[in-house]
Amino acid sequence: MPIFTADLSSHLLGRRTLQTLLFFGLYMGVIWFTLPPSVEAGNRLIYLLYAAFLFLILWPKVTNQSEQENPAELSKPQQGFFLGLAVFSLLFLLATRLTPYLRYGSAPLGYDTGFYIQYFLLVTGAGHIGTALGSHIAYTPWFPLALLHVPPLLSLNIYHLFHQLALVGALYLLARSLPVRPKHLPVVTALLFLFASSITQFMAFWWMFYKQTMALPLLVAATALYLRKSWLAIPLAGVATSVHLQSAIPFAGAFFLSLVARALWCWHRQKPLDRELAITASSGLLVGVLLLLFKGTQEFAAYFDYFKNLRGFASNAQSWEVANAKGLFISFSTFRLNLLFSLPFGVIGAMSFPHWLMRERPTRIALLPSLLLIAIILGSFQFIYQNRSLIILDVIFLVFACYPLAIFLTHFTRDRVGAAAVGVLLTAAIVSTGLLVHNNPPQLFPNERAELEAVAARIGPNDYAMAPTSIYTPWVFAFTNFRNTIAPGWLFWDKWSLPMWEEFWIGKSDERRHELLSLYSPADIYMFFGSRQINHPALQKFIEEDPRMTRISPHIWKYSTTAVPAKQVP
Amino acid sequence: MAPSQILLTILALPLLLFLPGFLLAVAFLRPSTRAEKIALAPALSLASSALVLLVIEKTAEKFTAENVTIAVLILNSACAFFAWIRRHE
Repeated sequence: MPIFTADLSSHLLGRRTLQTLLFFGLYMGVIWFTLPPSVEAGNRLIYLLYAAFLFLILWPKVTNQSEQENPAELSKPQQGFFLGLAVFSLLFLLATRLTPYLRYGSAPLGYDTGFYIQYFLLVTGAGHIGTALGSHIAYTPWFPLALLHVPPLLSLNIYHLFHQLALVGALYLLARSLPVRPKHLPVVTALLFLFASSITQFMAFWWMFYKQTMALPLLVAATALYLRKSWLAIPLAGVATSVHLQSAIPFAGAFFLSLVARALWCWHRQKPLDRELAITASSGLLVGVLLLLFKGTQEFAAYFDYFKNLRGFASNAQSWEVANAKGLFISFSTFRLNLLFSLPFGVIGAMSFPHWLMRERPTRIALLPSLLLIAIILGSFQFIYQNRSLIILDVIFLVFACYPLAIFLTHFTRDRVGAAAVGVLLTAAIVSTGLLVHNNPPQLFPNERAELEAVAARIGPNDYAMAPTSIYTPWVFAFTNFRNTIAPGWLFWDKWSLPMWEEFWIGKSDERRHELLSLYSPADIYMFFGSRQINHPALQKFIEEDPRMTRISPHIWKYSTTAVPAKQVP
Repeated sequence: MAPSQILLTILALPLLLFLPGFLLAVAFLRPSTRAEKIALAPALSLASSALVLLVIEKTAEKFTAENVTIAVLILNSACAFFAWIRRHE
């Protein structure tokens, strides 16, 4: 009998070792594949060694091969460390979110902000949204602030910061809702730290996607409430979906996938479909009903048509619309570079989730791995809103990274040497995110905004402001006080086709530029060339040397068409 | 903004963005810790305020100081009522 037992243990040990080796190979493969090509060979090798080191330490612990090393209780100094790190993470988050305002004034964020200011003035001026905008529920919170005479930009900033706090709260609740052992404190702290130091989350804040940043905390909170079997998840998911349908798609897909997985499991085990499955499926249907109720069928149909026309892929859009269809945000390659700190933890967490995540509530918790899978698919291929899906992918990836990081922190904070190593690692993450936040320029510098506001008084009713490149369109429109604004492919006043714009941008003939500009005759055109804009040498020469161009301020030139009679331009 | 408006805004923001959600969490999020209720409050408040204001958008001719104030007060009162009922169950 002892011989048999020894054989069995050695067999099990061998099988487990083989499994671990297989997972190690898979893990290293995923890390290798995820590292963007821009990482040089030497750095790639160092990073792979670091990742392998983390795997060797963490894998036995997260898969509970060394149960005795996961004590349920933290020592007093460890509790102090985790509480301190949680408080620090919140303060760091606040500092990173306020830094752009402190450095660059009240308008440092977002691309569409100029348009949102216009929407704000439009709907609050009318006292009603009516048919002016879609997603009514996203704009109703503006009215109380408008009635209190809070300026549009300040109102948008208040809500934008508030959405970040709501997301932190929702993530806290989600971390507390995970069925993890030993204690929640390290897991919650790890998730807060990962979120606060996430470059992708900062960039999402920087781009100021109003509706998405409003929907995301609601979706994360709904996920946490769903795991807790609270009915509050249903109205929250309904509101979130009505606010920003695109953000809800990964969650809806994951919900459907987890239901199918559960049904298949029942079928495989030859069990009848259980009550839990019926309740969750009914909840999903209720969310759909709420969506139609809050959003309206017409608006929903418009979204559906957009998806149908492009057959789901941004790559099916016209060449100049691809960036818009993908959602203006960082590329997939940049996202992978931003992920370097959390990547090993996230991959270990994702590969070992059956061990630490599926211990309890297996029906509902399946939503999280399903969401990770769907978000990876939507973020990796050229689907509509691919780049915006990366924000959701980052959030769910951080959720999977938090448990291995918590184990890592717990293990290393038991003695001073380990605590010093942890300190170095965390400091590296903080410094790298802090530097990025500090060095990240605004979309529009304060002096450029001041120039636009100053020139607004000079622009007559028949004159035009002009944003020769689309990167400044909303800003030029908003800060010239919504004067007639010419911008490529956008707004009412643009009279040029894409080939005409190309002739203006990169054509060699100044005569042709005069012809094109004469389409707006008789008027003065106030052109804004921002510091982020790089002009073709021919256009730059035209700006600087043409006698009809007058420099008004460092970034604004006036072009007078009055001397040129209007004529038909091919 | 005038100082009185700033003060009014500071007083109004919690009624819009924190209190309703916290009271709803007290009423309906069980079992939960106080920190969890506070964490959930912003998201729940945002959703409930937006919903109540959507009712005004769909039913009233336009948003006015009167109907928005009444809606926000009704929302907070209703949430407080639910919380009170659940605490005394």
